[in-house]
Amino acid sequence: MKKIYKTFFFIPFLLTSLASCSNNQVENNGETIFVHVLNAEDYIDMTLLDSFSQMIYERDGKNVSIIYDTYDTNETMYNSLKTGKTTYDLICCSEYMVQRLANEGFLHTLDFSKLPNYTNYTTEYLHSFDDENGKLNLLPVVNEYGTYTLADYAAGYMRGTLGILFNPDYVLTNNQDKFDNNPEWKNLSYEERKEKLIETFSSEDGYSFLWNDLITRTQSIKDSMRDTYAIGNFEVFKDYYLNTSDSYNERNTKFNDSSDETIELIKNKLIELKTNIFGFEVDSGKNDIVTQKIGVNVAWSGDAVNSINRGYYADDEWTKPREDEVELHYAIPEIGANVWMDCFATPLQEDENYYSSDEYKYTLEFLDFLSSPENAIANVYYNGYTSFITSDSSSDEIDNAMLAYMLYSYDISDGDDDEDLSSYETYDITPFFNIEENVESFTVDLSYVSETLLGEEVDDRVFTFSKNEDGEIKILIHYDPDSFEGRLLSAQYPEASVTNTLYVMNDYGPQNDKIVSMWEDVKVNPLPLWIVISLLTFVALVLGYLGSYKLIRIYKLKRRKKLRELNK
Amino acid sequence: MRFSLQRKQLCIPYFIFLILFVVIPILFIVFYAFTDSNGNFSFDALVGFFTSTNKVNVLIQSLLFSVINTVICLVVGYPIAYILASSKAKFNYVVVMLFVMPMWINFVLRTGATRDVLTWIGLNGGQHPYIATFIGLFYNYLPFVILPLYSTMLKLDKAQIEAASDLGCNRVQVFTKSIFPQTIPGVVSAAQMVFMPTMSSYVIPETLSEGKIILFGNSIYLGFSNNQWNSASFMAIVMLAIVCLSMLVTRNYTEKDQEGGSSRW
Repeated sequence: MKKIYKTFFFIPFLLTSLASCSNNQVENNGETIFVHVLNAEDYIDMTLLDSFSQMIYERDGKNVSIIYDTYDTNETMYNSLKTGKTTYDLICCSEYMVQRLANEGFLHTLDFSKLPNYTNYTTEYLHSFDDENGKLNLLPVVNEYGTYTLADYAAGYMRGTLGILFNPDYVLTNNQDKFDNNPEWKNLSYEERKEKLIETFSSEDGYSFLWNDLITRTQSIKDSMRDTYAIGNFEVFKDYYLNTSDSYNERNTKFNDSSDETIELIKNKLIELKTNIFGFEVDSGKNDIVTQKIGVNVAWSGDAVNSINRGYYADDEWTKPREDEVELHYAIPEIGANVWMDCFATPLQEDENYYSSDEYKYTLEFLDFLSSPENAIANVYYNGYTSFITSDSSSDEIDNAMLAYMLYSYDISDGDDDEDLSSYETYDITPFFNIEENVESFTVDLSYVSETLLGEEVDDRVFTFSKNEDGEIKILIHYDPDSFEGRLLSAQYPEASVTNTLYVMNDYGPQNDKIVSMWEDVKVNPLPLWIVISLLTFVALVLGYLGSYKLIRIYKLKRRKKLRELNK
Repeated sequence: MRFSLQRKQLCIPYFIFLILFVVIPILFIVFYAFTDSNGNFSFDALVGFFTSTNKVNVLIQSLLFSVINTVICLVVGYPIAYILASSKAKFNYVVVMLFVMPMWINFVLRTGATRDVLTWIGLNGGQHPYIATFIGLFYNYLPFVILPLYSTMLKLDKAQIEAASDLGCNRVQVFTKSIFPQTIPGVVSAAQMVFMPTMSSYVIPETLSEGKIILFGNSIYLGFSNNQWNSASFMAIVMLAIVCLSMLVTRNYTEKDQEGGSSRW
């Protein structure tokens, strides 16, 4: 008897000792320092974790081990952070979630002086340290410690847009009757129709086309409240976005409008949309469009890159092109799009000594390690998203590695200055690279990226960028928009002309609950009146039957009693 | 000291498990259902549930789905179980296995496959969300109906059936007066196995209707995933209440069964 109880006492002890092994507090004893990182699934090249530990060991002689956990959605992450006892040193989540956590006082501001790589290489257009115009600088944070912006709390990791991924062939062949009978489309040949369709999705009517009955039940939209709300916003305020002369910041405020009237307007639009779509999805869309279950999908740019690749290649390693290519296009409607940013942030720790500990030091160092151009390229190469880390206008092979990677992946010219470039279309991606004012020109040599970083065939093209007549350096990519690479390029990097219409979405704060209930209204199907009526009649009939049955019984019993009494 | 294990002590692991994973979570649900977001006692979730047309709407729809699915499964499963139980063929066991075997595969995977099959035969959820969902529900819960019915029918009193027909019942009367009453415990436990799981099913409507049909399970998930713990917990309580209610209603029928051994498996 006693022994058994002893064992039972022993088990919790064992559990706690095990837990303390993994949930480590050991510091400065020459033992392993654990850095706990929480990130979305499939988002990082895992070999980088080991190379970081290796690098620290060789430099400082310390064992640093990255404990890397993953989550599936921002909301589950938020729940586990709020309820769980697990503490993380570094988390990575979407910008609005970082904002919510910062507003609730969960996060510690980042000390950017300890992040030299990040401050050096981050895209100024997205995260600015000099002025207020970076996208991250637009998101306000107000908490008990003061008034900040997200630029104080977050270090960007990956970013992208929410656009429309579509398969023109599927759309046109599956709805051929409808296109044949539509006055605008019926006189066009197949090729003309295809061209017009591609144009439509990138035009100001891009989102409106989702409501169009020409493509009924071939399109799926996001089963995610915030993303679909944004689409609804563009549709409801279409006239405003097209005719306004408001500044970017004012338009961004409109994009984040969550007043009761707006919610109501968007709700009605989305209910209308629901009757026209194939379905809601968050995961399945990127496969369905490749397997041709659907023709149009509202997609995040990273997923779009993945789908375009899978439509082009036959195998998972992406080496062998398919014979029957599924030609997917990604479009950002001219009216605007949501730009999302996934950022790193450090949770606030109660222990004051934490901020002088090795754990904290190596956390920041790990973050900075990921921000070096070599490692950023490794991650981009791995997950297909677009990194915050970019290049500046220098000829140094590491400083311009990201630009070299872009040119290596997408540019089809031979890099020579005297080449006649008029036969190519050009694509302006200047805003996504940091160009210093005083630089006259710089060269980019691709061999370093192709050979050293990616280990592929040596590409010895050299590009020279210099000031044009207006005194600006433009980074132009020569490409074929309908080619496979061209379509990938437009998914990964939006063109310079649309950057002014990429909006950032705030956390809705106190209005969040109202938007959730709006979302419920959209998703729940109202009961048809005839069902309500027949249900009520059914219930009334059953109750009536049971009631009358009982009444008759009571009556019968009474009569029997009476008869019995009479008989006596 | 002699080491002896009493029967009671063998229950201890299970008892601990029960407390940790059943009792404590239910207490948590009750706690969340009757507090507000600051942890103060409140009836907000209760009032919110009954005043929200959406939530009541989803509840009624889920009940309807459950009733219809239960009826379809019983109507189809009953004859199958009867034929299997009464025929003397040796391959009976094989046929039963064929019905049970899909259940060994995780139903999330199975639902994904069902989705592809439905698309292939032209009944995809995008075009026909209701039909696709019902096919999925029916396919998933049919084995749960056949098995309890089959095991009750194996124990049918053949002599009573014979007597009924000897005493002048026609075939319909034999069924209504002898066979059906004998199988009621099986029917009740089969209905129980379908009714509640259908109501709380989450993956099947979500996948097969392409997210266009929301049942009670989906609604609860929507609440939890949007950090509305209190109202979602209250909905879970409503679900628990319905489970208890259905147990109470059917209690009388299943107890009778104890003479003939349990028909539940």
